Amino acid sequence: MNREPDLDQTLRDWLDEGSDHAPERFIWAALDDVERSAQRGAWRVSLEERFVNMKPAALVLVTTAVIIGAIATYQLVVGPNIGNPGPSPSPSQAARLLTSEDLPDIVLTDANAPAGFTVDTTESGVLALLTPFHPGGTFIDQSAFVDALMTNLNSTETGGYVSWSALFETAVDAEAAFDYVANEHGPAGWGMARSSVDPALGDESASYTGAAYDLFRTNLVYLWRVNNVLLAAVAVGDVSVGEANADQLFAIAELMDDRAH
Amino acid sequence: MDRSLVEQAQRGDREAFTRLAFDLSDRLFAVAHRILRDFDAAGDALQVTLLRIWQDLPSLRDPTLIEAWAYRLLVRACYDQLRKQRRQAPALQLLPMDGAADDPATSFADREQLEQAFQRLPSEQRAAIVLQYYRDLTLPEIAEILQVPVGTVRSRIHYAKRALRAAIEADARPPTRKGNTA
Repeated sequence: MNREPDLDQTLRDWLDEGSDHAPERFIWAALDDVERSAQRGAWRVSLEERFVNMKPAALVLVTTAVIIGAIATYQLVVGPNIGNPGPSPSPSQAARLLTSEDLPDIVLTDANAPAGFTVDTTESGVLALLTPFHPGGTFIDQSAFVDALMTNLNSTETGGYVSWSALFETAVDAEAAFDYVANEHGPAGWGMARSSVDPALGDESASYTGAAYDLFRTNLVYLWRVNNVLLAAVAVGDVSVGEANADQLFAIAELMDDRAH
Repeated sequence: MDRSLVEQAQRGDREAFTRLAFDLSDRLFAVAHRILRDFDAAGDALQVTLLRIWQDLPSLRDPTLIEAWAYRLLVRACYDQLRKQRRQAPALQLLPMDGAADDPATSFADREQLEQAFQRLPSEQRAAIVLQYYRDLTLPEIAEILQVPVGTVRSRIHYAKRALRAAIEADARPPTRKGNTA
């Protein structure tokens, strides 16, 4: 017997029940708040529109000016450094800066996921960047954000895995973002417990357990940075009953870490 | 939706915004009420959403998209409300909806099971179900509101329906008799 049409109709009937009328007290309370509140973002929109409406030649000129300005600022701050070998670069500085093209090779995707893993959904760009952040918090500084890629793997109703990456312009930018994302998982954000044991992934790393992402009570997160990219491997759901296995998660993290190097 | 009204409100006209708020509120409240299953929480979500609409209205590029954009802000407000509810009351309560007992289309047992199963769904699945089955929006429209790919919407609805179906079917199954010999 096919119950699908029954369920669809049952859902529609059930959802049709209930109030379709907003009590005015809620609307007037909101309008009171509006009375005391200014609009925001108009300046930002105006600036964005100026760029969008700009003719291509003008846009090239502006972009060139910004690049020249950035180089000049760099020269002023760092100096020409002529005739002096200067300090040795740290391993992180010496490593190649990763690019957007590298992300699909690092994150577990349809093309590269090991046997036994199925990619259910893929998200990229700002949407992927913002996924781990709790609503209502401060916004992460996106001025140096380049791209992000995230996949959900082996998703079930009770658990699954996430492979996540966010790329920044420089290692310094990624360091700042690491602090921000780490903070988002701590008491100021989702309130997860940070493990006292460093998982020793990449240039800096942390791991968290607890409720988060408004999904499940139990989640396990490995967060780390490799040069200018932030990476995370996440198990959502009850890791103790095999929906998402903690050892398997660490294997995912190590695989991503290897690929990023 | 009156485009010029939206444009006036975008320029800071509070009178225009008041009219806009009254135009939108019934639809927004109805969706919030169905996602949250709580009258006051739906009112709070509506209040937060209206304020956010006012504050961010200048950033809305296409005034004709006001309703989809408003739903996007509303759904976020609902997620916040659900998070608060879960922190405050881990044990979910069965919340009666107005007029539920008068509707013969859905049996009481089904409604009760649906209510309980729905309240156990993750907030993202609740939103997808309400937008599809109450607002009758298409998958791409829901994806636009929830800011996720269409495939994600499809999987959220699939998992939600599977859980809801399981709850109803579990209730329909004859109870197992224990200690009863033939």
